Amino acid sequence: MQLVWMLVPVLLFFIIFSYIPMCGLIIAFKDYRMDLGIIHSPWAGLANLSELLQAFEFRKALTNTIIISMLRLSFGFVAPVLLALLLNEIRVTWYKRTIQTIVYLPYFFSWVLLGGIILTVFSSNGPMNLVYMLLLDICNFCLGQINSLFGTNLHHFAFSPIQFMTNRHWFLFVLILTGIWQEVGYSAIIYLAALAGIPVELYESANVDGAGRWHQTIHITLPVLMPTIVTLFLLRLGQILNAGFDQIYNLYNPIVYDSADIIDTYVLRILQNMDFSLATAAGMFKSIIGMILIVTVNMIVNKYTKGEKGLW
Amino acid sequence: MNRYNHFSMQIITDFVFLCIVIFLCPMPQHIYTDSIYASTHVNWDSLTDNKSEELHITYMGTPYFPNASECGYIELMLENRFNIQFEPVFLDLNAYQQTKPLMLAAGSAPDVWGEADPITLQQAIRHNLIMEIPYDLIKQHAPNYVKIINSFAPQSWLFSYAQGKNYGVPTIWTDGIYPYQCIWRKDWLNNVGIKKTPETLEEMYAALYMFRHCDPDKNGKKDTYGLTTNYDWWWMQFSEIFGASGVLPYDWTIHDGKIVWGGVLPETKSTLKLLHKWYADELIDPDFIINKNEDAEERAFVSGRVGYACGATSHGAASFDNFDETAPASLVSKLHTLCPDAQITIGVLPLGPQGKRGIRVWGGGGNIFVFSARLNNHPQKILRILVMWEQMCTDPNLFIESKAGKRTVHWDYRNNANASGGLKLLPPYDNPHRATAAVVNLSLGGGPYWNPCGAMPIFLEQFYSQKEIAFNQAHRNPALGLKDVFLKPDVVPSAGKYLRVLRERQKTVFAQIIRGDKPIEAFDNFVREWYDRGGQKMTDDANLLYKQLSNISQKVITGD
Repeated sequence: MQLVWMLVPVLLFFIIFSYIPMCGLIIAFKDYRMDLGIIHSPWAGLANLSELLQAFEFRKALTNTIIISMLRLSFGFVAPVLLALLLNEIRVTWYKRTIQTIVYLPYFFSWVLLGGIILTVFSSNGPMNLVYMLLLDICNFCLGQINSLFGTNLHHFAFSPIQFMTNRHWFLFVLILTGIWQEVGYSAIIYLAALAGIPVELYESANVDGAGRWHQTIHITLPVLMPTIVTLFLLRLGQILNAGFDQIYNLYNPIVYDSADIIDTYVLRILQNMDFSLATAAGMFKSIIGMILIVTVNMIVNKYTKGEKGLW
Repeated sequence: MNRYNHFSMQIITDFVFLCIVIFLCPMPQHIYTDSIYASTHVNWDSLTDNKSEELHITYMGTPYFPNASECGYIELMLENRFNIQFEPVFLDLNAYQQTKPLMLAAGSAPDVWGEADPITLQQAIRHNLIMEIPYDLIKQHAPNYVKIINSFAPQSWLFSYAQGKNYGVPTIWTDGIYPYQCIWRKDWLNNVGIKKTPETLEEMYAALYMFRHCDPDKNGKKDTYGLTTNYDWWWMQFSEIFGASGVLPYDWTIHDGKIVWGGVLPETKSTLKLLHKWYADELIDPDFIINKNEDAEERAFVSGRVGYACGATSHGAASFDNFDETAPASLVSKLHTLCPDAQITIGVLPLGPQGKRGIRVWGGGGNIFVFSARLNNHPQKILRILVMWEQMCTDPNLFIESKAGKRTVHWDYRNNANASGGLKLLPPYDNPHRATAAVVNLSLGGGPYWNPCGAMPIFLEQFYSQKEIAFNQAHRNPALGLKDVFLKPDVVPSAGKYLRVLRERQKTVFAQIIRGDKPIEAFDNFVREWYDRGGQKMTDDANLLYKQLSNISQKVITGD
């Protein structure tokens, strides 16, 4: 009985902040006029959705969102697992804590601030290009030595700054990299908690059986972590159409619009035009895709793990 | 603790939590009710304003005073004088853009607010959120104010015009008619052996080329460029270079008697070709596209990255204030802090091959003040506000007091008793943060919160220094300002649907051409794409609107 009472606040939270606002979704099927209010605005049927799906901009934004999200998922999802595993191997406590604090820190900065820093770091005369120039200098020095030693005539590399922020491929690279950098410390915490729950006896007996660190990781740590990984993966899939609005909005520029304009930036433009119906339709579209993905992947996971590792 | 206690503790915790949740979540009171903005017809003719009645007015001026708070000096002064109880709303620019639509949707719009963007203004009209204000009513209660608008920028009536009705009161931005002027690093020109400040595009190219390739700052490193721009600011990006061909690439212009979009004209193409050559020759800072700060160009100039600057700074590179050695925030002071030997010279806008020169100006129209549709029930509030504005633009004391605060407290004359030396803010208000907190500033030509009126010619002698007047006459000739036909390109009715998307597209394609990612032929594809994706509709609308504009002008002229 107590447990049921403890559930009440959580339920209330979701009812008030998640379920009641869902009624607002009818705006997506109306030609919403502020003076008339939600109830009295005229119905528009599926006109908003079809306008959305026909808009060239929206389809491009959708493609970009999926590409960016997939990249984030492929690289960003593995990074915290690796970090947690590596941190788990460190035995010196103060060193471990220091590292953990340092990687956790960027999570607390807003993208407005980070945007300014990243634009400077990756600008054509910023630190990243200085590092690149230094590397080229070292290469050229080595080439010079080889040329004078062996009498060869290898060409030196000429330096021209890498356009990190204005080349679409580099831009995606910066986007994914800085995204991981900002989030990895925070995401690793859940895995670290799961790791802390592994009984020491398991490692001890593996040790007795002659298993090294590598084997212990493969055969004990990873299997124990698996349910956490699957759960987080499923939750992450539901967010697949959230490609990281704050980050992109603060970093992108006209040259990379074609590959960086995502659904959220598109919706912002509609909202600034006060076209609430269209914006709601776009938001609803995102949620539906997210829900379909979660349900499907959960079914697949259940099928292959015989119902053991799915969310429900 | 026994089981019962546990249980009751849990209930208490739940109750507290529930209270917090309910407290944090004010239920939307308006959205499920019939209508937020009941529309009743106002009979303007019989309406009178009883001056002895105190009126309560919520008021949101332009969003440039985010740290201000209620009950500032100017607010109390106006409240006393006009028998109004103000409830001001102060937002920063971002909050204004993002929060205002939600405020309107939630039914908590202020009674009076400033709208900067005709697109959202038109949407607000469509949503029936703002009130129609007949032109004649404004003229009746604020005749001088209307006269000034009509002499400076009659087009600004279009910002709030829909279906033959007027929905707002334009603000006057007298500084908006003065074009920006370019500045050069004189010491750099000397160092590369150029004696004469460049005046034509060719001379400009030669000088900028030397700035990049001949180490003008003599530091032994190739770390300088010719010029940069704030690419995010469509209205100012390379504006003086486009101006040398007489085009505004992001505005409506008259071409062979018809209204066309500047971005599709052959002159734009040839300027892009030129800019690409400049970029390929490394004259343009390659980071120009990622510039997002409003002072990006000024920063590049001050830090010695470029040796030329023009319009892409908050007040223009060559504004009078920027040459004030005594003000720590002026461009010249900042430059001398970093490089004490630096010298600046004011140039002229570059002359193009066809003998044209110019740079974009917004013209004398500023923003629009609109009145909430709720005021249908309290129309006398509108009359009171109109009277207040009328007095602000006719009474010099009220004019200055509603902009800069009280003399000897907030500001004073530089030379004791008259304006011949100009005005200065007194400590602590000479600190920009303290000044915005008190809603006082000395940019008398515009940027209003309480006072929508720019400095009229009659006020110039009273509040502007002789030097500043002479400076503007010498360097900022209004004849060189290039204007949009409608002053703001998004006035066109279908702009709400197409303009933002097409403008972003244009920025992308132009950047690609300038950088050489795409050949100049991409311009022709862009023109086709532009017309196909809504440009044709906008152009048709623009031409219709232009006809209406002449009708409106006719009315405005004959009405006076």
